[in-house]
Amino acid sequence: MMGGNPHTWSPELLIMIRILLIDDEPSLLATLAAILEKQGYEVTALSNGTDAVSMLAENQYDLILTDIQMANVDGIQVLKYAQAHQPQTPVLMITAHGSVETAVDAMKIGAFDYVTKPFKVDELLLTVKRALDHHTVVMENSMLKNRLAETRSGLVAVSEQMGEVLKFAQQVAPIDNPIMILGEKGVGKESVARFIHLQGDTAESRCNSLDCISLSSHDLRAAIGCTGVSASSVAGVGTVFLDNIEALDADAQSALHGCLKGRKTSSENPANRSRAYPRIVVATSIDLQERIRQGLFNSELFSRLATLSITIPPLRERRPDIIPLVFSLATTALGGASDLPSLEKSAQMTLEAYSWPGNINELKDVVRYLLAAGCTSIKREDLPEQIVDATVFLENIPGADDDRGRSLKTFLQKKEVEYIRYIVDSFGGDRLAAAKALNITPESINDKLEGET
Amino acid sequence: MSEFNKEVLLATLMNDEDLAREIVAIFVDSAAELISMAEKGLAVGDFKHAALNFHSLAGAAANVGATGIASEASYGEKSSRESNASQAGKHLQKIDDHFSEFMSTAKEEGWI
Repeated sequence: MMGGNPHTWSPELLIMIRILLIDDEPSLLATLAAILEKQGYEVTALSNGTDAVSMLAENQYDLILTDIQMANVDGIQVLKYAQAHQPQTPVLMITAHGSVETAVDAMKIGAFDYVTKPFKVDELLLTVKRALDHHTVVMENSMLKNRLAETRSGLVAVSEQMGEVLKFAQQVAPIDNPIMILGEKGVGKESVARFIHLQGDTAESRCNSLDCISLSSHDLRAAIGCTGVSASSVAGVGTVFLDNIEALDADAQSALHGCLKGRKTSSENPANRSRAYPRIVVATSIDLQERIRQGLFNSELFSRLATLSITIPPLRERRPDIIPLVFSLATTALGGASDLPSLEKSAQMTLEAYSWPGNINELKDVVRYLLAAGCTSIKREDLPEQIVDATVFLENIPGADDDRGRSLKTFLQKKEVEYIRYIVDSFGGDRLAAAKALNITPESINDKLEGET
Repeated sequence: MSEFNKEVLLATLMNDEDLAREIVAIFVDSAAELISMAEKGLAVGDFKHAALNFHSLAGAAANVGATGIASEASYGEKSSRESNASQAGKHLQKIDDHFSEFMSTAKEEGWI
């Protein structure tokens, strides 16, 4: 059977299946590539393991098909690299007929299956299809798990920036080291900690959140299962989230450091360790390096905590998340009790333009305010006054929508002049007062408004 | 049986004769290189290198239906792994013969 375009279905995309093929013998490489391309697969054919490792470092594949015996970097090394960097991608080993022992050994360390040379096309394609079907199931499970974790942790990640955060969170979730989450107040650090908790083998256990502002050394030791404290204190707890880690006093910092150090030195069996102790996730909105310089934070503890760190961008740097967050927060607040109000375009633009210094915490307050007001269709003027005032330029600069298609520079120049004129007018033509408000010199205003009186 | 069993290759390539011709052309270049590399390996006593090239040659030859080359290359690989230069050399000689036969058959039948 020829042709056809194999693809995987996802709710959003139709994606070509990408296969990385490695064989150092040119005619075999060409044969295999041709067979697979005829089936509609997108094949990257490489003649050595070194190039394969480079490609794996930069690209994702749905399947890897590699010869075992190759000079320099062989198929086993490619397999090991793939397992470390793309653990969900199945690897098929190519081996000569009569030397399947090595292929079987490769399967023991994680290869999905093997194919023997010379190829029987039907068998080859069947093995490839089985591996790809397996990959599809694994990816679908992973996607469902992610969505469940996102929903259960209350996260919204429409923006590319938050997508990257969650991708990294997924990568570090299986690792047993402490994780440090950084970000301004209210960006959702606890939600990301819960996402990590729900990703790993801790998902079925509890996630305890503690605020270090009011946490004593004794309570901390009990919470994280330090030596000398009854193990029952941490029974059923998979993750301990320590918020405002900078607020721990010196005794508590020392206790935490000692506890983490003890875990490290007794880590003969990571599997047992993860069962005995909860994972530690800490968060701060403070520059801990500065605290260390001031002698207020233990540098050794910082080193242990910060080996895996995630920075969550503030809401103003991930504006595509704002409107989905509004609806997510409103849905949670209403609990399905009534229909969600609609957001008119003017309100959406205003919410997206606002700088959100209080991040999601501030957005939550605004959502509560809007729901309490009982509007069914929210307009710009329904929003809190401080938000309307801070984004005043939006509706007062005429023709904001008329400039699409122009270069950004032209648009910005035009809007700059319009905004300056608007501010000058709002001060009754007093350019000195306007300059003060705009934090620029009166000469700049004159330059910008040159030709106007 | 002829040294060049084109049916094997055509079956592998789902009867795409144009592609089969391309593969044969690639094999001819590649096999000559692999034979030369195996020979050099044996000459300097680098049996690992020789074995690797015999191994690649065996797989490539089997792929295009050059059964004689494939079989002798497998023996050559085994002898190289046993550091038996004399035996590996004999297999190499037979490979040369089979390769010459492959080339003549392929030329006669208009494949190269």
